[in-house]
Amino acid sequence: MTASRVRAVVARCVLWLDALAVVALIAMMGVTTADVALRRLVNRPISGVTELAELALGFAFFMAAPGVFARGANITVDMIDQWKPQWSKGLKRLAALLSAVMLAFFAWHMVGPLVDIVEFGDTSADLQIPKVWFMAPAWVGMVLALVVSVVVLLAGEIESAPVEEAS
Amino acid sequence: MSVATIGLVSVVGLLALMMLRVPIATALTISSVLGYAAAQGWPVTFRTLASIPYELTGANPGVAYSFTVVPLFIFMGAVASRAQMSSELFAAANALFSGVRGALAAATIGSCAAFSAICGSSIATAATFSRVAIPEMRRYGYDMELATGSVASAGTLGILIPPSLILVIYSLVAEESIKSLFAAAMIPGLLLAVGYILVIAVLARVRPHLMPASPSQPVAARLRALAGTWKLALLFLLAVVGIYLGWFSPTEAAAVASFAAVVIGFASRQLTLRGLWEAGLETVQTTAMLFIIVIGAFIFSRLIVLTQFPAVLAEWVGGAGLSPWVVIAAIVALYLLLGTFLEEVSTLLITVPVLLPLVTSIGFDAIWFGVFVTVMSTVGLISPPVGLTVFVVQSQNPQIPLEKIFRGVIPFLIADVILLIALVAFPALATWLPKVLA
Repeated sequence: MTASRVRAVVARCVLWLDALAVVALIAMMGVTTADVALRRLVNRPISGVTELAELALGFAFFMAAPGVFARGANITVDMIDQWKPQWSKGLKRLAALLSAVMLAFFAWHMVGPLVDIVEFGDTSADLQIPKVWFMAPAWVGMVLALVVSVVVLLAGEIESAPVEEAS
Repeated sequence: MSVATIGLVSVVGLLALMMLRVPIATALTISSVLGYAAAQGWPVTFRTLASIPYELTGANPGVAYSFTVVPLFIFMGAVASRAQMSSELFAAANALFSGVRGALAAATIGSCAAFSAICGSSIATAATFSRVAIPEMRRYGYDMELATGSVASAGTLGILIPPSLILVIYSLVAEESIKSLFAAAMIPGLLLAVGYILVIAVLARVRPHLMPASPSQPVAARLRALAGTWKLALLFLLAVVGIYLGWFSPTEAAAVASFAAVVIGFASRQLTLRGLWEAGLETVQTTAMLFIIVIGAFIFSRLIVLTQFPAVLAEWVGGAGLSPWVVIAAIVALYLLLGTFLEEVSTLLITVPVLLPLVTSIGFDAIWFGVFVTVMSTVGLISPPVGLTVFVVQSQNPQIPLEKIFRGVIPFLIADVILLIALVAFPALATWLPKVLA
């Protein structure tokens, strides 16, 4: 498989993950609004709404995380690009390498707590949702971000879509 | 090596990695993990730090829920930007100021201030009004330095006037009440908006050639234009006022206001499904980018706690007999320095764990410090070389040189500096309203 083909496949996967994150975001908004409306209008709040919102947040954040690494959209201090433009390419590769190391650190060491939760069978307080459903998106997101980072390291950035800054 | 020295070496390593273009989240994580391992050994480091990403999930009930407010407020601003609410707002502000020299520039400040009441992002505010206000000012022959400078400066109101993303993130890092922080920022935010309008008034008097006078509009037209801002008023009521009236928690307010923005957008036929999708995409991408740094900042703050760096710093300051004003001046200098190469959220996440204990130890309030940091961020947003709102304006008007826009914001920086001095001299500007509304 050529580098451009790999980039295209990863770009498509990242788009689907972003779509899943958007669905989770809209679910978070919808369930919270519905809870407020039902509580105010008919005094029938949705049970465990905070747990549902937390579950949605996990998907909304961690499913979108690989896209940040794919697009090279992490916030960086790029002053060195002006001083030493000839270093830019090498430094980008260093950044991708260190990011991959960081993500590998998380992906490897987050397995233990995840296995513990599965073995102990912990559930949430209100809805009795197995805690693994809250934690799994975090681990999956880190592993996928690691895969994407390795692809970026070997084949270059996936796409260069601008991402809005947040301040 | 003492743990305090390890902390210092880690901070130096963090800065070195950042200057080498390593992403801030990665630099925070790697320098902190290495520092923690040097102090505690690898097994403890793995056990303590590797599971920190789980803190942003429901595995740690309560903590994750407090973070849900971030994407919801971003989403509200993203939807409002796409639902053309900014154009109606600009028309209303323009009608209000009509007949005055520099009316369009004043309208830009006024409408940005009002838009900031539903959008917590300076970048989004500046981007939105670059599209709306600059073409109008060009059409009426405004000086381009003034036109672009006013939009870049007014955009900074987005993070000061609540709901503010910077204040939300500060509340999560400093574990302070969002409600109190929003109230605390209200008066400084309005003062800054008034200050910017005064800058335009002064410029209109001393350099009238920069801005033409506009014809006055009849009262009926002004009232009609004002009535068109009901959407924004409704969203502000839900997103901010609802919190103080006890209707909603901050997360509920953000969710309900986002939902209302979507409904209003579709009902007024200004929002399309594509627009909703783009707003959602922008929100999750921004959230992911931010939360990756938050994870790094959480790890960094664990290292800071371990090394007791803030306590050592506070002890040193106490021992040196420095007055609180000297300390605050040093902090201002630090933020100005960091602002030359670091964007605002990263600055906040890196500095607050270290500086907040120091600031409270010399008698300042943590809520006040949140507003202070936010005002410093507004300065950073328009200061060279990393003035983000300036970059946003330039990216949408590539024909205007960056230097011209930076020259355009200089008069507005004076208002920022005056506000900063007033905030330090009269902390009640930030601390009075939260007490009244408590």
